[in-house]
Amino acid sequence: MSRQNVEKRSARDGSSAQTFAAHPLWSVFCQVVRRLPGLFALLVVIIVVSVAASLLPPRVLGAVVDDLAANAGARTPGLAVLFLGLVALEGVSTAGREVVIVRFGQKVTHAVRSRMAEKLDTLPSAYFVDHAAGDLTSRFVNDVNTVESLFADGIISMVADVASVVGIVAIVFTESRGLGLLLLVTLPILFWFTRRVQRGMLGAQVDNRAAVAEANRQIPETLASFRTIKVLGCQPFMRRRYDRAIVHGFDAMERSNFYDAVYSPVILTCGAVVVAVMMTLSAQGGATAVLFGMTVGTAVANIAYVGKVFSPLSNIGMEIENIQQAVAGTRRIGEFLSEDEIPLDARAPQEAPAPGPMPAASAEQASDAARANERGAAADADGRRRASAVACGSGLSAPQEAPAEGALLPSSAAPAVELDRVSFSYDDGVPVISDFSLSVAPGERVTIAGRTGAGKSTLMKLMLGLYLPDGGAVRVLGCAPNLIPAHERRRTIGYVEQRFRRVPGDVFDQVALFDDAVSSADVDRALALVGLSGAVARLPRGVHEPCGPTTFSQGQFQLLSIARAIVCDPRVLLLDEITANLDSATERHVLDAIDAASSGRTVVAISHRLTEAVTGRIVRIDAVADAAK
Amino acid sequence: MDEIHDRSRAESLAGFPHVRTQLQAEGDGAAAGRDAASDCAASAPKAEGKPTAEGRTPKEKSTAADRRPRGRMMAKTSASSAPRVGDYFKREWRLLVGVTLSGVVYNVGMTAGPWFEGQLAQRLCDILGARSASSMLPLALAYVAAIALVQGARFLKRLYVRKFANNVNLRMKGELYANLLGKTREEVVGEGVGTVMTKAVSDVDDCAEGMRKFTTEIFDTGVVLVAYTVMLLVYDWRLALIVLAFPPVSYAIAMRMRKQVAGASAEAKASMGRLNAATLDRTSGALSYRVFGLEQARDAAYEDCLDDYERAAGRANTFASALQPLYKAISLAGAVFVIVLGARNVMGLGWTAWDIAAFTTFMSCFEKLAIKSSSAAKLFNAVQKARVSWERIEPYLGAPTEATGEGVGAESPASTSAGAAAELPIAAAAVAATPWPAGVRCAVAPQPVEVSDLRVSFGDKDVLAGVSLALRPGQIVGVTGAVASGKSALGRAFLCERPADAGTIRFGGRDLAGLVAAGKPVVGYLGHDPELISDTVEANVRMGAAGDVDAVLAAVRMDREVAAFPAGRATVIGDAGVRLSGGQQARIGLARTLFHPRPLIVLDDPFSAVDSATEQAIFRNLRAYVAQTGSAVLLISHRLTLFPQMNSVVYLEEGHAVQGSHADLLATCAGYRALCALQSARQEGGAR
Repeated sequence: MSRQNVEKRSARDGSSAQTFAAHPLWSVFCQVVRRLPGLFALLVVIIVVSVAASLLPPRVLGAVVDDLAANAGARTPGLAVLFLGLVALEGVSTAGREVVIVRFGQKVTHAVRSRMAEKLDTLPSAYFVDHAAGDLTSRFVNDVNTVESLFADGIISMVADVASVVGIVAIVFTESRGLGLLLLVTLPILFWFTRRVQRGMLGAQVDNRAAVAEANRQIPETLASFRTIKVLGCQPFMRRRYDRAIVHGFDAMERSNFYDAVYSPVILTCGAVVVAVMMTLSAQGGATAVLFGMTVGTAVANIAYVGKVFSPLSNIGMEIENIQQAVAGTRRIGEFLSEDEIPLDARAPQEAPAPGPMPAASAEQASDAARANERGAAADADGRRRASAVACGSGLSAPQEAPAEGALLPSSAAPAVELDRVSFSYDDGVPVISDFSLSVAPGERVTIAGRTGAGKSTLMKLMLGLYLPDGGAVRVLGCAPNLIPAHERRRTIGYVEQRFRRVPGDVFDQVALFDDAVSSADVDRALALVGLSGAVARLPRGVHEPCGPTTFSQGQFQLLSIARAIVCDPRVLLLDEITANLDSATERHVLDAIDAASSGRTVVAISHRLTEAVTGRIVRIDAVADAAK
Repeated sequence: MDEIHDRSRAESLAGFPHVRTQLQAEGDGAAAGRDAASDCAASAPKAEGKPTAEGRTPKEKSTAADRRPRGRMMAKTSASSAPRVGDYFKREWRLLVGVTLSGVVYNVGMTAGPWFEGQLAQRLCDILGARSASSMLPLALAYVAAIALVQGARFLKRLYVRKFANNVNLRMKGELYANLLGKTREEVVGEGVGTVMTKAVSDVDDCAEGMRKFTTEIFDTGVVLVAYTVMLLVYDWRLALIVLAFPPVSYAIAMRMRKQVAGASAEAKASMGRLNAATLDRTSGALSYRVFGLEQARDAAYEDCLDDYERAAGRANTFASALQPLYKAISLAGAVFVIVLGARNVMGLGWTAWDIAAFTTFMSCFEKLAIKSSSAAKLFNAVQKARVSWERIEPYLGAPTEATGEGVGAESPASTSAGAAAELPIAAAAVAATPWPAGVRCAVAPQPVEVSDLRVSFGDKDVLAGVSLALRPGQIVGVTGAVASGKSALGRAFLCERPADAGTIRFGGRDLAGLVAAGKPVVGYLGHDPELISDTVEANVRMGAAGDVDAVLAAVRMDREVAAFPAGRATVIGDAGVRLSGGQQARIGLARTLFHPRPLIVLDDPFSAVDSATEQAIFRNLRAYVAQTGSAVLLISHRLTLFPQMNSVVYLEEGHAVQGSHADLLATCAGYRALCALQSARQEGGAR
């Protein structure tokens, strides 16, 4: 789809994504909290308990020292047991806290990845052309991993540490107002220092993440180009490229390391200064002694508290790093989740359409149809489809038109494929197709021919509904191809891709594409149709042989691609330069197979040369393209 | 094989003393661990992201063909310098000296804190009694000065240790990538893309992080524990012995948990590998799944991977983070004795006479020691985690071997000629006037190529069953045949990616496989997949070599199209050239192949996505090209329009080849005749 389209129709305001509450991750977080209120409550309770348990031991110790200074040791064993009990409680509650934090963090990252996968479904096709798969994968993998550490070692730990700081300041106030005031003066200064370090680190982290993403992208690319690299001996070139990416990351990391190294020592030195001031003033007597009001026991307890207040504070310093890393990652995830989507009215309905005036094809009916076809009762199934289908609205048309209401299902009454004064241009605005019309009758075969770059592939993407036209309308069986519901798609349009895309799995999976509606009889039939039954039968485990790059020859993979397209017996078959990798004999074999199986099916092929033309009508689009230019 | 690993392991232990203690503690398990490590290295390239013992049993075909690459990889591993953890420490010795100096100052200085705190409390006690208040200030100042010095040393230590980890990270990633490039294609294709990605990035990050923590903790834990222990013993050795019994208890428990922690970590990594592979499939196949209406179905499958990962990672993280507070509590249990017996000391009833300062210092010292030793357990987990990562990346680390010829000949044609000069004759300067710049010539002089009785089989199926053919310099030879007749296999045989099952390919009488293995720039190849990289048009053609890009772009008829691109030759063409059409991708691939002149060029169906007129024009340019460079071209095609113009034609049928001129084959070879008839019939049909 043209991006201008999307921008025009996008309801999203880019700037709103900047505010925290509007960040898409925030809504994911809230959703997890709503779904798991128990876990969240447990998290809160256990943080409170662990903080409280960590605050009390210095007071017990202070009491012991005061007793000792007064030369009284009667309470000591009891206090020692109390001390141990508090330490044990602190240990258990802190361990429990870590477990709950980890669980919660996992839930959130799971939800983030689920949301991102859903997002993939709604992105315009052009997004995938403009964005490298490696880059996208890096967002799913690396950036979400930083979100994981954001929770495990970042935000929630930070909340606990902040609670510790607040608790300590409060408890110090009850023992020594002077030290409490001293802390109130010191902590804001240290907080300011903390913020400075944070800001310095953020820039470095963003650079580092980008460099890591670039380096990640290069690895699958290297594997994909491995043969070329070997043949040309250009390993040094590839290494230099990779080195550039990792050195960039290295430099950013160095900057970040400085801030990281300097933070904690500064904080702890400040702690020593506070203790020194406290002790000096406590020793002065008079008004300052009243203000600080300390016995030896409170002094010991307070030295421990000062140590404790700076330790969570310097933990916060560590957590800053985790959070900053994650902020860079969350920003990239936020960008991804805020990408412009296919407008709602240009999307296929997600569920089976609602009942009512159109009892539309459910999965059950769809598989009914498939079974009916298997029995050879295609006409019967067709009739049923017709009965359930509703005539489309205006089809896939220029953005201004609102689509017709309700579900849109393919209709057999309309022309099989219809392009009505279609215009299309990519982002650069140079028209690729302008005012192009074509009507293909049901059962007709049409080959669209034209020289390289004339717009044949674009035309194919328009017929597939991957792109929306800037003007005019595209209809497949009277329906805008992008609005065909998912469960109807493979039964409506079969598509043979230019290059076979192997999926992880066995031979069966290559044909069925993990589609539950595809039965093993369907796969057998499709393989027989394309003449691969024999080759598959010869594999050690038949259709359940794991499919690797050398399982089949290039030509056989192309046949597999056709089997994949026709396994659901689509009524319209779109062939994208189908014969590109087939020799004459196989080409003929495939065309014969399609001939035999395609009574009542429409075939639209694009081809760059007439030698491959299928029988039937040939439409040349060179003239169209030339006129456009 | 085992011997190599024994050696490298033993050497790695020398540089990694902590691991040695672990392994020795394993007792009988140590031998098993070594076996597992070498097994891991051996099985990594064959199993798809499943380097475990059970991944091997039913799924893997234990044919000889499967074993071959493994053996070769092991040989290569031994040829390259065997990677050792110690090497990475050794190479950074300057930084590590800095870390050591600042680390010792910091950690010995750490005892100053408790000591001063005890003195401060005692001084306050004295002042509250009778002593002059002014004696507090010098003590307080001395305290601040000591802490400032110690923390200054700490800053340096932290900075150096991070720099060290960053350097190691950089070096490991660089080596990993270089060694990835040094593998054969067969070795690399056997591994899942997702697994390699995980290896390269998160394993190296984990490993470097583990080494950083290890280095940090040597000082923060090792040195400081010794300093604290000495201090405790000095204050009251009997009490010290009692309370020092507790940290080892937590340490022993940590040792017990080690196996579970490592197991959970390995399982989480494996689950992450699967998740990454699923992510890559989901994103790179997004449009295919959309076209077939399967996006939601794939999301559901992705959800299963997420569930699995959540479970595995949750378990691993729980082990990594929840145990430490428990260890800390156990370590701290000795505080009861400090309080009770220490109080007796102060009151003069115990083993040693103490004042308040001694009590406070002892308590503070013990608390710090207990907390430190609980992070010794944490260190242990970090080292465990690093070890899991290390074992996974170990086979891919080490300086790449230059002997296999990587790196030879990529800088520029000139440098290749230097490399080839020793053994092969240098090409003579071009004679005929052609549209090609005079500098375009092969670094290795063209020689006749002879294929005799070549047999290539996959499993027990012969794809090529004894093929013989010949090419002479300057010739263009067409290869055709039915689908699965072995055309592409014949083309790939010239890449010598795997040994031929029988027969030879000779270049000027020498074994081609040997020349290729030695890195000689003899063969050029363009397959179905143009294998473009996400870079500019120019970078894709050059791939780092010098020369005239415009000439090749013109030769493949891409000059005008490229000029119309937004940034011309500097236009970035996207992932695998996704911004280009199929025909443009193929022509950029062809331009790249011609840009790197080779005496033998194999083109597998280069014109399939190109229209007839363009095909004819490019073929004329190819003629001129071979006239100048003397290259022999093997042009594999299923379309025969160009075949009458070929120097000779090879017709493949069921793994056997017939070679002759177009006219001869038409006369003598029925299969070829039928193929030609079929195509010309279709051509006429198309023209109708």
